[in-house]
Amino acid sequence: MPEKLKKAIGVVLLVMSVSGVSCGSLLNAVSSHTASNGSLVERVK
Amino acid sequence: MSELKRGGARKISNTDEPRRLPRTGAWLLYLLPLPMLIGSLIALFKDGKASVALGAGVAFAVVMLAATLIRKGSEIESQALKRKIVRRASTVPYKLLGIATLGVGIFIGALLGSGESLLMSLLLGGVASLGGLLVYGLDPARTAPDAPAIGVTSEEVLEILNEADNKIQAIEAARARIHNVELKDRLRNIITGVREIMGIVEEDPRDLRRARKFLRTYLDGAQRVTEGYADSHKYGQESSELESNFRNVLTTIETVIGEQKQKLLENNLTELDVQIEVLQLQLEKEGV
Repeated sequence: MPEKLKKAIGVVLLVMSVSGVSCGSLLNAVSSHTASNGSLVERVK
Repeated sequence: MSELKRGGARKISNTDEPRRLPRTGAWLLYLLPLPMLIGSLIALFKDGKASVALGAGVAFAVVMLAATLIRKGSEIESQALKRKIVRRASTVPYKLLGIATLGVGIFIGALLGSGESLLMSLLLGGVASLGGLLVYGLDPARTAPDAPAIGVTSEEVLEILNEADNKIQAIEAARARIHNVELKDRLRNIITGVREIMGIVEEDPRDLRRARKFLRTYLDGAQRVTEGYADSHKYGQESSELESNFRNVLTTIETVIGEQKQKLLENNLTELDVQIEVLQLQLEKEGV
């Protein structure tokens, strides 16, 4: 397999997994905060 | 006489083309996990789940550790490839450790931070490690293949070359403090000559046996003399006698470098050793 293709596949896998888990953690933190405090819209109501 | 061809055994390449060195940065791994830190802080300070805060925080720290290990491994590899000699890069496989740590960090982040299932977390950890392996590769080979064949180890050669490099840098720094144009030019030629000798040794490390004394003892003397002269300029202690002595020493150094190169090509060891002894005595006598 050519070196460049290998690296490109590696970058895609790395970005997908690391940023996926990273953004997943952020969303999970935000949603758990919303679940315990209610959404901003609900609080305004 | 060894049956190895001169310059043929220890070189990675015998062309003069510049080799592409691997990039040492692992900036992607420092950048991508940042949302994990933000998520951890949100969960910690805004009444979120403690497990999410802990999971995302620990995962972030582990991935940062992985990035640092991979970066260190890449730096060592890059340093090793700067020379033409194959070296034992490091006894610690930093890249391999970094890639494994990355997988563990992503596994923790997925399981506790994102709330994925165990299977999915394992899969994500594995994919991250595979990605890291493809992007950063493994650590270079730890052993040089033909070290015993030439009587010196590649570590020894590289150590002496790096020492000589440091001495040259010290001479260059001292040269910058000298204001006499003629002396500066002569020192520049001397530095070029020393680099040529280092190049000869790098091309064929067997020459180290002949150049060792020059690169260690004699170059050390040249460094001390040049620094001493540059310091005397700094403190305004220059005198015509000192300058004359320094010129004599420079002439001697130039002669030795020329002869060293010649002897390296001719393989005449004994005569060169005698020359170096004579020059050491002269350095002491001149007292620059």
